[in-house]
Amino acid sequence: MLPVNGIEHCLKCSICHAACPVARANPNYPGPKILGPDRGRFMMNKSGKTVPEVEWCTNCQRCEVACPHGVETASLIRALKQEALHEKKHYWRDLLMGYPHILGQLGTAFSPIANFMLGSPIGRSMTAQMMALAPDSSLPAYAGRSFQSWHRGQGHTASSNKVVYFVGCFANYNRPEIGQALVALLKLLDIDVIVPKQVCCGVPLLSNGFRDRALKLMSYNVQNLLPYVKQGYSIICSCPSCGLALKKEYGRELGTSEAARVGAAVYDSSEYLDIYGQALEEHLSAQSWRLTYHQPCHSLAQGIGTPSLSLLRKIPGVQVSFVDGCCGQSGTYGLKEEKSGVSRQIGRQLIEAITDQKPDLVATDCGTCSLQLSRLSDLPVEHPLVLLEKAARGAAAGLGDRYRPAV
Amino acid sequence: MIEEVDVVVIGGGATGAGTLWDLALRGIDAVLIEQHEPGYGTSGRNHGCLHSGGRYLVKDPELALECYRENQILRQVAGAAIEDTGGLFAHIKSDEQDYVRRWVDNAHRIGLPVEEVSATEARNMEPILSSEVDRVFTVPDAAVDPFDLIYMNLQGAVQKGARFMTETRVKELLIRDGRVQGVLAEDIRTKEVHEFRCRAVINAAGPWVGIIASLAGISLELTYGKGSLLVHATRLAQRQINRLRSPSDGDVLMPGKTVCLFGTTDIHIDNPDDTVTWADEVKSLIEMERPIFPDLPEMRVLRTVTGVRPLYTPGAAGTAERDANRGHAVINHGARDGVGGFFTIMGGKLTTYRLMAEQVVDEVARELGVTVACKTAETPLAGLSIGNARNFLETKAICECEQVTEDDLLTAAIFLDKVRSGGIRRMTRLGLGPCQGTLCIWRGALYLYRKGLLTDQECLTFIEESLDERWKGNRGVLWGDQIRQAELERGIYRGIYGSEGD
Amino acid sequence: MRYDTVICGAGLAGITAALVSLSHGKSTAVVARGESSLYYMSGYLDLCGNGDNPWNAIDDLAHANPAHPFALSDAKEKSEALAFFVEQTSPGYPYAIPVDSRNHLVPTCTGGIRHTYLLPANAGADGLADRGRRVRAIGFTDYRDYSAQLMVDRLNKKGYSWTAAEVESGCSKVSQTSIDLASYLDDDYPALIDKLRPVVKDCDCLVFPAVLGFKKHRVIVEAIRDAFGTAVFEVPTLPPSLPGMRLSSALISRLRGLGGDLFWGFPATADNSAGDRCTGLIVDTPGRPRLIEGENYILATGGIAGGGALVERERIRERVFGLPVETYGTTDERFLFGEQGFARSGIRVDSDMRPIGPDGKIIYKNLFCAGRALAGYDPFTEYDGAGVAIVTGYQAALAAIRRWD
Ligand SMILES: Cc1cc2nc3c(=O)[nH]c(=O)nc-3n(C[C@H](O)[C@H](O)[C@H](O)COP(=O)(O)OP(=O)(O)OC[C@H]3O[C@@H](n4cnc5c(N)ncnc54)[C@H](O)[C@@H]3O)c2cc1C
Ligand SMILES: Cc1cc2nc3c(=O)[nH]c(=O)nc-3n(C[C@H](O)[C@H](O)[C@H](O)COP(=O)(O)OP(=O)(O)OC[C@H]3O[C@@H](n4cnc5c(N)ncnc54)[C@H](O)[C@@H]3O)c2cc1C
Ligand code: SF4
Ligand code: SF4
Repeated sequence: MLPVNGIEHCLKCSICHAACPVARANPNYPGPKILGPDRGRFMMNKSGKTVPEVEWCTNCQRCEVACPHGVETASLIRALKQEALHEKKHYWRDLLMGYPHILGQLGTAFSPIANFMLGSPIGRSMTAQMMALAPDSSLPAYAGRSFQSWHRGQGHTASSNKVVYFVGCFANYNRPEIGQALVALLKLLDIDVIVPKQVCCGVPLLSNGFRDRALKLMSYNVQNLLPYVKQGYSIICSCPSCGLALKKEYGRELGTSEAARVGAAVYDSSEYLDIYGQALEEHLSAQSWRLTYHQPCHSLAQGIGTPSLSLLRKIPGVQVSFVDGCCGQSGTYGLKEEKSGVSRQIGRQLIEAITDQKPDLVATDCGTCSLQLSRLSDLPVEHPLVLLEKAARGAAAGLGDRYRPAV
Repeated sequence: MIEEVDVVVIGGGATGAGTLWDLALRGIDAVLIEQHEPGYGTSGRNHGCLHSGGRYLVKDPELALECYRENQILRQVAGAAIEDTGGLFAHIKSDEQDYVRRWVDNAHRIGLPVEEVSATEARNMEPILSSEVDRVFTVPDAAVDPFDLIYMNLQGAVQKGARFMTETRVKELLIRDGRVQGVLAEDIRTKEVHEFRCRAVINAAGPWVGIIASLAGISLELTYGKGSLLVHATRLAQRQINRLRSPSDGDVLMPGKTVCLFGTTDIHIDNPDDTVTWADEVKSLIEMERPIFPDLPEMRVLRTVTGVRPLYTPGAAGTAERDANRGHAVINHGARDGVGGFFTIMGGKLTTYRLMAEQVVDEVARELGVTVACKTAETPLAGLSIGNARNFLETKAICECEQVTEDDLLTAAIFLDKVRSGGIRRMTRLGLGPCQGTLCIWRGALYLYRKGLLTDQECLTFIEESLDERWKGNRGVLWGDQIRQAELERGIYRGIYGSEGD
Repeated sequence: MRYDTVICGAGLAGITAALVSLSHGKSTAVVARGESSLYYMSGYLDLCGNGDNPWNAIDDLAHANPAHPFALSDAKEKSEALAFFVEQTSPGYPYAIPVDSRNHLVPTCTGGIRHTYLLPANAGADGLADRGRRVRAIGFTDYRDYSAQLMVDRLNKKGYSWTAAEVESGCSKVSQTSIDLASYLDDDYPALIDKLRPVVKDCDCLVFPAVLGFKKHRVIVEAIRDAFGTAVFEVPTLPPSLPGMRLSSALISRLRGLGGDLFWGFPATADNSAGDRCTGLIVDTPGRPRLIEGENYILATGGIAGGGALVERERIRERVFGLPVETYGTTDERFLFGEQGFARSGIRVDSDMRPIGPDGKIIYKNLFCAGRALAGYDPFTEYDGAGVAIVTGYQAALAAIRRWD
């Protein structure tokens, strides 16, 4: 085996360890240096054992961003997870949660039932027990109608400027408002939105060690996106995890030139809108919001800077502060019974930093981050797209609704 | 202080340690004296191949057979120090074709099990192999960890009542009436002198045998060849890989635990202490990697290692180095030079250390009138209780690269007669990983200090010596990741020490 | 978006430069592959030399070696740079300029003694200046990187009379680095204070390994001070260095607060297509490279350890612009801490901090260079690491602004 993911470049400086939110919160987690390059080196002589502790990695990739020497710690840990797959205690739960698009289809189709199971005290405790979820975990409620189904009902604009939207499960099944805001904002810029067939981006499976299954979803998406990419369309993601996966993980894991080509066409929604920042600015009406922006880890890991921050700062009258840190939710991680403690512990630190800023409202790009932040604080949390769209609409309504699990 | 003992063994290499074990098994009271720490000499500076004999098939079929036999024996008795990696002999298109035929013929002749695999299959097994490789054979090579091997022999011997002393150099042989009566040995730090009265002395001083012999006024016809190796930071091959050609420089890539070693060079030197790796040696090793392992030159190199081969060339001065006798010699100086009770065992291989020990102890036993036969071929050696955990999650690791735990350090410190950086390093692998001690030298020294095994001054000495020793291996490979590591190390230790120092 | 200033590297030099640029109202972006040497360094910010007077040491150095980066500025500029820097640290992790402009005398964890210039303001002033001070060094039995007793043993042989005590931290991490302990204390420092009660007596100053919290550092130090009425001083240990991390995070939030943009996590190379001008940095981000454009560029990618210089077998390469690197050949064969030529290798600049070639000609009109990337000095023998980074970072940014104006 030849060294992979920069194992050889590691200087053992533990910078990655210092950046790892889980290592700080969970005493049993050995951290990215040990599980990544150290362990990886032992795996090369086939004497390394699998380590059940890899389970604790949230795949936030902060370690990889922090490492100044190009070691791909998070990728190394994902590979270890895959090796330890069959020692997983909650194999079936993790597998099931790896298919949010299927859950989402069921959830939106039967939303009253689903929301009862997720929202009412009895339903929640039943679900939690069945699924080994934290008893107080608040699963996101399902929308009555998915974004895709809403979008099918919309006409297309006559514009010849078109982009492809990779919706992502959260915006599709739980918060269609995010996608709707994107469509509206792009419309202001005279850009039409195409929504091709798509399934979950594969991150939930991948970060739970089900690599082979994730690859299937990834290939499906590549097949459906590629024709548009060939025509020169950009692909927009409003979910940072989907965006990062399409940009980075697809090319690496699938190893095909098609995947790389798709990856090269992907934009985070704010990254894309920021290009038209000036044009957009003209449409934004003044608001009196006092905002704190939390950049999700997977947005940070795209290396795009903080485009949401620059966009939000363009809304006249708005005060925006920035907090650095991980919220600890990491997709379904924070929902899991055994992990929710650690997840909260991580989140609390961020919440403290946020409340120090005394905002009226928190903005963040990631659906599950917003779940965690609203669970742990009393603050309303919104996607920057939704806020921008509100500002563009001149919505006098003021604050965005607090995101609530369906009751 | 004067001590009485039957036999003094000089040199704590594999040969000396094996000799001590053999003596102990035969019930002969013995002490081993080592000038630095066991494994300091050639035994700690080699590839660590447990040769199947494949390498010597054409040139020296007898040696090949000897290696093969010992290989089989050691797998039984020293299994804990051996990893059955298996070996490949890979031929590249441009190398001599006819050599393959002669090699295979001789393998059949001595009964060495070789099997041809297709070049494609071989590249699947070992992706590091060049596509220029056209024929590949498997052989029963294995990897032996020389440090584990030496310390296992010492451990076994100590359990049977033998003793060993480290950092003690033999300075004088006491000779009266044509017989060795004892030795004087000096602590290399305190200069304290120990006198041993004994009935026989075994000179197993590796490349230094000539110096020991000269203490008895005896001259041995020795030349020295140094061989250097590159230690790569990760394990890039699973099996020992030999270039199938007439033995030459840069033939072997040898995996060992977490690293792999490529080498060697072979350069005539005049002084057995000359273990500096020259810059052009490193250059030429890199070039030698290319034809058979094209990706290897780009892989991180941790350090260089240089070992010295003593070549005993009675009456054959001037022969080309590699062709000089690679077998071993047992010399009874009573018969040869009129110094009774004095024996030299030299040359040979790591692989044949047990046989060498057996042969010299046979001679000594005869002289001492001991009739117990050698038992080392049947008596298994217990593994070291170090590094076997290989699970840093159970115990706190001091060295995370090589997963050396607190318990490992403690075990070594208790086993060794002196707690010094060299012995601790070789016995536990502390600081042998990619960071080359950047973090663990400090951690390890501190741990030993806190356990009361080092004083505050000794603790600092431990650190300084370790850093300087690591630097000696690093300075030849200052490029890429390793020089960044060195800069980090300089920064960290400057910060830890401060400048005023001590 | 086109920035006024684009800075490559987010270490002490790069961030200082960015803050200067922002404080002059310039739009500023910082591109960094990862965290910087601040994570490695003690947090004692050296100006120069290991003696009482850093200013004399600077003069000596610049005199002996006209190619030294310190030879590019006078004492006034240096003082301005340091004052500016210290001001920037004040909201997050304040540092202080010594009142007498002399070096502090501080202990190291082996009980060594060193001099340094800037210390965190809450560091309880000098660790070692007053030999009569009653100091109690506290260690943690379960922290493998530090022993209070060793430090005290050694220092007391040099005429101090410190005492040592160890308590169990209670942090039960499987791998326990400074940051594990600090995070633990962030969460649970009141427990530490309780553990300290029985061992803290007869002292004016408590010395700890530098693990007293990351996010909550200030609160923790105050709590200890309040509980025992003593000064509190931290001695650095192995990386990751908490003082360095605190400083880094304080400077970076300051930078964000001033509206600077940060592009983290990926290496940059330069787009040199326009001859004598740099036209952009190409950052190797996921999916596709990202072009970051600006008017002026500052190279602050550090040296060999920081990642700016790539040492190959036959040469040293500057990674971003491919600038010529001045190399010094000699290597001390025997000692790691000897004179190592590689440590002095780096980029040569003119008095405006613009990289120049062997012929003395400016390479890019709009490129400036600062920090460990510069040639002609070795922080580990001269004790001027932070000093050079801060002063040259300041100079480079001012030079860029001058050019722009
Ligand atoms: C580059 C290289 C690669 C090799 N690769 C292999 C291989 O892969 N497989 C293999 O089987 N063989 C290999 N060999 C050969 C093998 O390493 C040696 O034959 C073997 O290690 C010799 O062991 P030894 O105990 O005889 O000598 P040494 O290991 O040198 O031991 C001699 C000891 O005597 C001590 N000593 C010296 N003088 C005094 C004194 N005055 N007082 C006290 N102590 C003293 C020394 O400090 C030393 O520790 C290789 C050799 C070289 C040079
Ligand atoms: C272990 C150690 C201990 C030290 N201790 C002390 C001390 O106690 N006191 C003291 O005063 N000094 C100390 N120093 C020296 C001092 O820390 C450094 O000289 C100084 O911090 C260098 O700052 P810099 O900004 O020039 O470079 P660095 O801090 O090295 O920063 C370089 C930055 O550039 C980025 N980068 C590199 N390559 C690229 C690329 N291609 N693209 C994008 N970004 C890139 C890096 O990720 C990093 O962010 C120490 C240094 C080390 C290494
Ligand atoms: S992976 Fe990177 S950050 Fe982590 S220890 Fe290794 S070099 Fe340092
Ligand atoms: S991906 Fe996140 S949780 Fe996993 S090791 Fe890296 S920093 Fe820690």
